[in-house]
Amino acid sequence: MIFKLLFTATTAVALCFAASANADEIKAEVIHQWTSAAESAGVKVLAQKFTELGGSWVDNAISGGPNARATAVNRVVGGNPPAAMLFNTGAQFIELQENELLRDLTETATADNWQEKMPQALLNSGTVDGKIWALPISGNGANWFWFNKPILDKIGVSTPKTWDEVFAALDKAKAAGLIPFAPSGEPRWERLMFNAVVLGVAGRETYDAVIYKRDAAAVRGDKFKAAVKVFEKLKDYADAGSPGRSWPDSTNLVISGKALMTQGGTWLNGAFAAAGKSAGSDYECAIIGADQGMIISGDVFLFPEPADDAMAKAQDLLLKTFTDIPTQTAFAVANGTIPILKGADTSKLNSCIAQASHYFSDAKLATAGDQMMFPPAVVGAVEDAITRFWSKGGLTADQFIEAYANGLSAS
Amino acid sequence: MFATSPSNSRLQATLTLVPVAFVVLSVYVGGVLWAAGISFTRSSMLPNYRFAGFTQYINLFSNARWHVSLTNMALFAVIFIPVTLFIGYSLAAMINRGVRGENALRTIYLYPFAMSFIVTGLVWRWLFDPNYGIADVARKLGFENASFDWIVNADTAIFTIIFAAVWHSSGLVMVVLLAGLRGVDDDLWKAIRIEGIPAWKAHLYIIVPSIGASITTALVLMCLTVVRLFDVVVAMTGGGPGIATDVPAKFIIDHMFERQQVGLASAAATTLLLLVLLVSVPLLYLKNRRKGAVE
Repeated sequence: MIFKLLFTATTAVALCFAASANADEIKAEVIHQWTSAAESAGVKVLAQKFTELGGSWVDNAISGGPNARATAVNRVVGGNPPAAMLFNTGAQFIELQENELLRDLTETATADNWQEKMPQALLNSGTVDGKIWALPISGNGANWFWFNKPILDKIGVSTPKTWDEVFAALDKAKAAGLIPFAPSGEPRWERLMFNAVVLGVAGRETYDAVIYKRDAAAVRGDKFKAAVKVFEKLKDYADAGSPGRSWPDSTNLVISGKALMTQGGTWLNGAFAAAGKSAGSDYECAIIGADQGMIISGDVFLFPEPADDAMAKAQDLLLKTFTDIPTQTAFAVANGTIPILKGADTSKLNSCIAQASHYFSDAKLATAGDQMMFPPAVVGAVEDAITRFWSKGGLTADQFIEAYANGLSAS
Repeated sequence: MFATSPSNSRLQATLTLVPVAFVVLSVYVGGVLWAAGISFTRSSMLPNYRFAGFTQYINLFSNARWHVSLTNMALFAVIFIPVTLFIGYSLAAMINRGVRGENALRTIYLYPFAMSFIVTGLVWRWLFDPNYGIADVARKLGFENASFDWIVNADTAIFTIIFAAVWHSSGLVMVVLLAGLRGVDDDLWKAIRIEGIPAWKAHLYIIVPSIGASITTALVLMCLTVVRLFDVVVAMTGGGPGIATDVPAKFIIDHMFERQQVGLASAAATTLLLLVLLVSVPLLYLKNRRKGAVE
């Protein structure tokens, strides 16, 4: 009896030692929404570098941006923060920063000279009162349209550059018995698509007035209405199965040759690459109305106020990993996004990312996405209006314009 | 080991309940009251205490999505409850006659309930897909123009959700009502047969009133489903097309997290609570009055 008791006690103590043996491992839990094939490949690149530098990457991938962010916020507020969490470039982090839940990155930024390394626009959107709170990790162009090249060749058109050419191509695809347009049917992608149409049709001036100044008069103007009309016409070409469909599924329809066109950001490059397709021969990309420019969006990593020294050390190591130029470039290539660090090796980029990269670095050709400029409440309100307009049996064009204008003042 | 005099065991019972009561009162009731309080503030992502009066409620009731949510919940209740009750009762009545393989049948009918609402929603979303679901099967069978696009049409999408929910819950209602039917006296069945009353009349006027307790149980369970409807909507249509299948629970969750509008979401949650109380309190009052009258 005594022997059993002693034996149990010794085993228990021994196990405790075993557990504490790993106490000085630098563990970092990262919450993000990169769950598609290409995105996971990108995460692997980052995790590998982190491990090389001596850390242990604890991956917490949650499908769906809003879900991942909700989880991260709950964890931070609940007192058990992750080491890093993925948010979009823009105003999503502001309230966390106001409530002093984020770690100030200014020190690391100055020491590592981020001003020289990163595009000004991305850094600025994460800066409040001169202090930096968000680390840009990727840049994207949001207003691209993607075409299946073999189908383009079959129906005898070149890559469309204007909306008239697009509609002509869609008509030919429909006549050939293919799905002309396979958009993603989730509200946030419908919003992305709408912004692409507005920039291309209504023009840079109107777009900037709406996005930067939330100008309701611009929304009610003629140029915006013209964009709404084009969006309405595009609605008729969307296939019946699109509502609620995710972007990987919609991209698959184009990849597998069932549909001619889809809309999405530069991250679709990753989806095509993961399926073994190459730009120029299997697929083409274009901004419709490209002279008006490209809509930038991006992702940033936020670092919660560290719970203890171990987490602070882990975060330092993460910062080092994410700002390492070769790592960031390899991550971007795997992910299908634009490498954002200056001095990145751009020789391996395919034609689509190279084009996007060129727009990205030119201030005259790049403008912000609505998510970068609107607070989340406004994003939600206009998203509701857009998805109601896009769905069969929803709002009329005039009702939609009113709803959008009202949504700009949501809070 | 412990003395078990009557007062002592009462004390033990009370002590056992104290932690539960504490948790219920502080967490549940306290949480509800706190949420109601937050609905009067300007909270966005994180709760703050900047008083805002009834602003959130005004915003709520001028929000088109909220109107659609309430309408959908009402429509859901009005269709889901009677249809599920009818199907559940019919299945229970048929099984109660003592068919062969009763256990197997009961298991089969109860199977959908064993699936989570998420799986149910996903399965039916694929089946109702206009390109690859039931419509496609019909087309392959030779019906060239078969199309079933209810799920992608704003006017009819809610009915596909009701269908999936009915499929999911009929088994449970069947089991609950079967238990009630089993409690019906054999003599009653004999009397019905002797009197020669047609089956449907017998069920409607004699059997159903006598299993009132089971029906109430089934009704309560279904009402819970109606108010809590969230996962099947998320899995089946994501609230779409557009906002056509939005429901109050989804409205609240969306606005609380992604939209960073905790104040508005709390106002919606408090309104939902008030609606439930509006319906349930009079019913409880009636039930107690009737009980009192009988005693």
